[in-house]
Amino acid sequence: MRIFDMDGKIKLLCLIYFMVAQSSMMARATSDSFLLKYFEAESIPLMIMGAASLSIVLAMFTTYLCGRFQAYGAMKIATAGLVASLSAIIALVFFFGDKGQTKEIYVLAYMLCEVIVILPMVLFWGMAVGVLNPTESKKWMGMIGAAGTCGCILAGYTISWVSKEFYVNELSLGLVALVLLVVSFILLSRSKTLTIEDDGPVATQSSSILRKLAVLISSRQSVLMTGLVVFSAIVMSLIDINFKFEVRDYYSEKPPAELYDFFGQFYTYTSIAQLILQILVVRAVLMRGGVWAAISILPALLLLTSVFALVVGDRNSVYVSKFITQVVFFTIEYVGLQMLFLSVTKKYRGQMNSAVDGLTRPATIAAISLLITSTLPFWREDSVFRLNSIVICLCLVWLFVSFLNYKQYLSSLVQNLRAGRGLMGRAVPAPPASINSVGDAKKEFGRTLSDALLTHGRLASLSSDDRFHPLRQAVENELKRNVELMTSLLFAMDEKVNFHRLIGLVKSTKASEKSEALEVFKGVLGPKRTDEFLSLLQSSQPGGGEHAELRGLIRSFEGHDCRWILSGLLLACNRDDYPENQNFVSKCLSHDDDLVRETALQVYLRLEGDVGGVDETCRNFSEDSSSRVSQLARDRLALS
Amino acid sequence: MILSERALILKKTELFGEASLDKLAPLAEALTERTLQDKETVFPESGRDMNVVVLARGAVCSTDKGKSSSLSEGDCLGELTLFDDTFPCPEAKADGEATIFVIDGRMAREFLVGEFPVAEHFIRSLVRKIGSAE
Repeated sequence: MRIFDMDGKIKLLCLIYFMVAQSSMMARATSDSFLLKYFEAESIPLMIMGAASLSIVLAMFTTYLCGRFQAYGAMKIATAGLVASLSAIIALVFFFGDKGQTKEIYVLAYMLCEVIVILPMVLFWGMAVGVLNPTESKKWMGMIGAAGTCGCILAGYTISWVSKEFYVNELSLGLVALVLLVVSFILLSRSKTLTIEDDGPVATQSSSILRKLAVLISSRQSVLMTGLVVFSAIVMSLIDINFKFEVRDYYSEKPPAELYDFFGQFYTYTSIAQLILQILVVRAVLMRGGVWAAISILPALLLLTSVFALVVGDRNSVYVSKFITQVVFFTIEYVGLQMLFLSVTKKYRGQMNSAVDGLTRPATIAAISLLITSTLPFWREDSVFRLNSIVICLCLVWLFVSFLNYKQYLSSLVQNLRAGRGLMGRAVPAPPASINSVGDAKKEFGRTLSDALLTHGRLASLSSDDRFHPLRQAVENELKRNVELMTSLLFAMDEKVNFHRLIGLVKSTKASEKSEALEVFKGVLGPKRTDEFLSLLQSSQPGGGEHAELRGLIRSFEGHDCRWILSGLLLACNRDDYPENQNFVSKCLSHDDDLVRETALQVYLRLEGDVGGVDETCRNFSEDSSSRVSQLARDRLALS
Repeated sequence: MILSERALILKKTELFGEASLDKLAPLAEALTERTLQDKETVFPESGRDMNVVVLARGAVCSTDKGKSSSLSEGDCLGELTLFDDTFPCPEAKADGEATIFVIDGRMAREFLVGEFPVAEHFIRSLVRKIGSAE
């Protein structure tokens, strides 16, 4: 993998995400310290609820901003607004932070930090999916995520250093403001790279924000995406809260330093695992498994862990589940979720991201926290069975919702590309009569693909010499016939897609259309077969590989049933290599196909030196069943 | 010329290049092969012909509305008569000895009707030619 072989846009996104993640992690640490230092234990659920509610309100506001100014514009406004608010809070903390009634100031500071934890992240991803196409996303989202993880690690060190200073509150808030200020400047200076090009006029409606929001979240696609966010948030919240219960119980009678040490080690190891995954695994998973693999890995792993925990009856499984969620969610699952937004029209991606992810996730977390707090005794009794049974049920539904999301993702891409059958101007090509089911079509496709790849390889090894031109034409013709057969089989494999248009789009010079068409192909054929099939559509120029001699070519095509390839081989014969290929010409003289016999006779007459033998052969062929062959033989006899 | 050679020459042309060799075989079988001597005209003197001509070997000089051009192997003449039979044929003469394939216009038209990709490709190439001429 060539990590640094990335274009300027990707480098810019990595840099911005590095800083956004850094500010988010510093804000998280700052808000947690405010929560523990300045508030009583009974106020904590209230504070969490309050922060979640503020996030929901702001998510609605940013959804509106995304609709008006794109995700990029919304992010610019939001970061500038956050920097201004932070500056005001820093001044308040500095001047009034130590004087008597300071609770209101820290409530504000806590709320603002909680908003910084979520809002810039959601807006960043909304902006990123707007400027990336599916192929770029699969290649680089892991790397962008890795930049974010590095930002988080740096934030940990920074906060640790700041915590020893006297003005810890002002300094930590100031650092968050400083990083966001730099992000603001970067956004201002790189508007061309981060703005989505205009796709054409979008109908403007004079409806209210709420109405627009309702329209945005009422499509089948957004409902399914909301379902995915809800299920992932529920399962993760359940695991997170139960993990904290377990840790608290275990360390309840031990010194607090051990608890801090445990958390420090746990989050260090998860960060290392995240970084390794982002650099080495995410790209491979996305390129080979695609979006479906990305959104199904986490529920599948949690399902397996919970089944194992139920069988073994071990309550420590919650540590494993927490580790998995911590590592896989922020690396693969979240990237998969972001990729689902790529099937939404570019202009609506940021808006929908903000509405679905920015609004639903905090709302679900708040609701689940409230539910668990109110049903605390339920979770404390027989926790292994109850927790794992519920997680298993939820993961099964989560997997089903993921599958529906993937299907919808492909269907939306087909719709965006106008590659549905409804708009097809040509008749659907009929597959061979032997194909009665999708299974038959898949098998036949695999077989034809193997043959075609072999033919493609042979074409590449053909010399550019003029005498091989007929053979080249014949092999290209055979390859085209194979591709046409495979296209008809594709039509039999999926009854909704217009593969003619899709093949045209794959050849398109527009990177985003090409990449979206590739995604649909991968959904129907799988990544490996898609790559192989599409390699056949690229023309193979001579001169690339080692050129085989005619004898070798004849051997490699021996037994091939294509009459044009046999004719091409015959026409490539010249006086020099005729003696060693004489047997092949003789064999073709007795071929069942008229065209092959005629070509063989023509080559034989041109190259054979034995006059007596030629006359004898011509006498035999003068009564041939093919009028063209017999005429050729008679013409020669007349000359002699 | 034998059938496979004829079909392979037709396959090289812009007009029939998109068709498969199996589809071209009947056309290759039905066409008339003519050998032209130097300066011999491709179309009849009347200037009206319903056929499509493919240059199989040699060279031909064509003059259309005062503009002269040289055609080489695989080039076609008279394609526009497929759309408009009142269209006058260009004046074309062999430049040295040349071999041409004469394809019956009605047959070529039927072929295009049956072969959507070939017709599409043909129309695209005509549009390109019109564009470049303008």
